[in-house]
Amino acid sequence: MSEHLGELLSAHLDGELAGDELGMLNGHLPGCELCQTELAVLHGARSALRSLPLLEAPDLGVPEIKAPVIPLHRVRRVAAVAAVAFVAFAGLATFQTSRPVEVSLSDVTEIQLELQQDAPTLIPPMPADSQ
Amino acid sequence: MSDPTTWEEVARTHGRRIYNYAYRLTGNPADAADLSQEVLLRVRTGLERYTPGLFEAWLWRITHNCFVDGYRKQKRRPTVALPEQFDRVAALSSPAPDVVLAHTTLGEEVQDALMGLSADFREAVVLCDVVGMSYDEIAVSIDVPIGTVRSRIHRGRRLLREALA
Repeated sequence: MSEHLGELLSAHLDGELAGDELGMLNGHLPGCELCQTELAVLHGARSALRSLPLLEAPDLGVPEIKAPVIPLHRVRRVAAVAAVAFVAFAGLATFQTSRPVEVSLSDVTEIQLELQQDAPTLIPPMPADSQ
Repeated sequence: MSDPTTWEEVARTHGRRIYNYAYRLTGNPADAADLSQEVLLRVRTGLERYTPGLFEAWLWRITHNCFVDGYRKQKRRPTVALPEQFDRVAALSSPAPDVVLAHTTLGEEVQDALMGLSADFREAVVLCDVVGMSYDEIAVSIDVPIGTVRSRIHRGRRLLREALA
């Protein structure tokens, strides 16, 4: 440690020394011209800073709460996924509603025979040439 | 004095000190206003989570963080490296500091000298000599040991004095 006071001098100017440190300063400073000069230098800088005018603050206005910023690449990705999902859904729905049902003639015959058994008076018998 | 409950109250009671801190650190009104608004914005969003108690420490921690964040983004502020043999005391042949400072137009010259300090030193002396905080308060606000605060203030003042000589 330096034999001179160094940082203790600034702390002394600010009233931040106590106890042993203050005792050390009081024991050293009166007999040390270098530290006295240093103290004057520091005092000058401190006075210059404290002499700065206190400025009036401008009207700072109401700070706006910033909306969370979503990166553009993420927006594009979400839009692309949504578009693909929409197209897939729309295509599937169209396919389901417009797909023709394949029914063979024999199937129709069987269905008609079943219905005829259930309600013979309401459904006429199958023509002979369609058997 | 009870803690403020709204950002408007914070702006009213602390806005001027925050702005002066911001101005002395950034060196121009526009950046100072931006920094002050950013502080108030963070106060506004943070008040809901604030636990009543050490309001000043909380507020100045926010202020410090805003400055550090802005400083990191810009990285265009001038800095001055510490001279070699920094601990060497001023030569006795130098003019008396009072004489030097008497010929200095306080204001712009001091501000220019402040801007020549590194951000750490500048903030320490501004918090101490412009805002008027104790070493303990500064240590809490900028989250460094009190020994670091003492060192930064001392070295900051010495560099400032050299810049004004």
